[in-house]
Amino acid sequence: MNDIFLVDRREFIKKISMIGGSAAALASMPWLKVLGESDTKSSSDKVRLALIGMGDRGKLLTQHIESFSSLINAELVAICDDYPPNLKAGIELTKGNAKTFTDYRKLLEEKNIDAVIIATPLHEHAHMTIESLNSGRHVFCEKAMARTMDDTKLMYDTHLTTGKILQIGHQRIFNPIYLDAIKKIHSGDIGQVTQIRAYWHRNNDWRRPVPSPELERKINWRHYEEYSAGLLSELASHQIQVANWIMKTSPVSVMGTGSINFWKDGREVDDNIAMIFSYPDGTQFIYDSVTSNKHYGCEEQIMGNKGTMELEINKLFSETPPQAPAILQLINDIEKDVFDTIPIGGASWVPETAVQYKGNYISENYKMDEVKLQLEAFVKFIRKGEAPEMLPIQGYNSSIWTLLSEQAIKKGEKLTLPDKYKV
Amino acid sequence: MKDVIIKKKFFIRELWALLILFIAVNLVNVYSIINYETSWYELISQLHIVLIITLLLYFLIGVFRLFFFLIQRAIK
Repeated sequence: MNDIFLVDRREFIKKISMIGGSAAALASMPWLKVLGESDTKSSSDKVRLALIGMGDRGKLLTQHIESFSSLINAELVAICDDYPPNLKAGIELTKGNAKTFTDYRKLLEEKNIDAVIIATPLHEHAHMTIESLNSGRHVFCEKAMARTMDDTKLMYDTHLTTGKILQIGHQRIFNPIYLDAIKKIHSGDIGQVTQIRAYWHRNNDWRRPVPSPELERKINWRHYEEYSAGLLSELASHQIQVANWIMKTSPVSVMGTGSINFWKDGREVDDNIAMIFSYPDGTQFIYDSVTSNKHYGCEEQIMGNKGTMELEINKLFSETPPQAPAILQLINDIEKDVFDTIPIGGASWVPETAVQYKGNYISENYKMDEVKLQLEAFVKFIRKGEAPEMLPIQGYNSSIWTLLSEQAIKKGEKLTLPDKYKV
Repeated sequence: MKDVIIKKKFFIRELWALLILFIAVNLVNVYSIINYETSWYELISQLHIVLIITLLLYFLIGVFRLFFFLIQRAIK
């Protein structure tokens, strides 16, 4: 068992009781309550998990589950992958303790499975989730939900008809910094949110080594439209979820554009995109993602009339930053008078460049791993027999607007969500 | 090697110089607080800055004094 995780977990639980102290905060993050609750069921009554998809994400989830399964009263009893090297890696990670499958349907025939974790490529999420829910299992599915809007809706509807828990892997929902930030934003700390900007910039081809050419589409599935919406489903969906969470609603329209302007390597999905989502109150969410420059990295900038939050770096910048001490201001002014050049011509204005100010931290920096927390919450929901409906709705709205964005790019139009997809 | 003897009179004079400079810089701080409309608490919280400026000024004035002392000695 990981002691660091235990210490941080205790601190985090304390923090949760502070964050979730108010009714308003709990309305924005109802899943916090279950994390803070003690488990009344017997520790021998373990939740039996199965994991489908032992790629990079699946391996990471397996490592997490294996490292803290006893703490959360869960065990990984089965794993599945139809790609032999991935399955072999899964067997090693579970030390051979989990039953192995190459066909997820055979896995679902097993009786001793309570819940299924799905970490396969996007196009496989829908049928696997739907069949798992219909077989009476709870499902944790990695984001985004599905490759098509119809499949996304069908996944959500199946969750409703079966009454089984459906949780989508948006880990920021469990990140202590984000939880603190959302509470502060909804309490008005940065005033009225009037614009959100988010970006995810990388400088790599997002390509994985392929042992033989016929495996190209299987391994580099993110590059092909049949399997993925590219940057939209793999990256933007996370930040669309954050924007919806902040705005407490979904957008009313989206428009955007994209192209392949750098990685001309046979991929079908755009290597750069730019979108604008409009919310009912007129707030715009401006999003872009590129894969040929990483200078600006990944960020969500929440701009209000009283301040700005940059969530990835845990910073809050007030619109009225604290004044420097008077004596330093005096020295600064004297220095300017002595050393500044006196303009005798040229531009009659100066550009309104950004205010140079280091800002304050939004939240204490916890080493808490949000992926572990979301898995812990999933297990606790199963043991409790219910989960806040806001969780699958967050996942659904993020996925559906991701896929609508793809259509907006393809059509070159500003689109609104058809009524049949509204939940 | 010749011993350098610091006389008591010289030592007290230097202490007075430092004290006067310290008071002067504090007065500048008072002026700044009024001028920039900041908190009077800065009289305490910015003491370290006041002290640094005091020592810096003492050092600069010391350089000038040494310079004049050397000129005086050369003329004699």
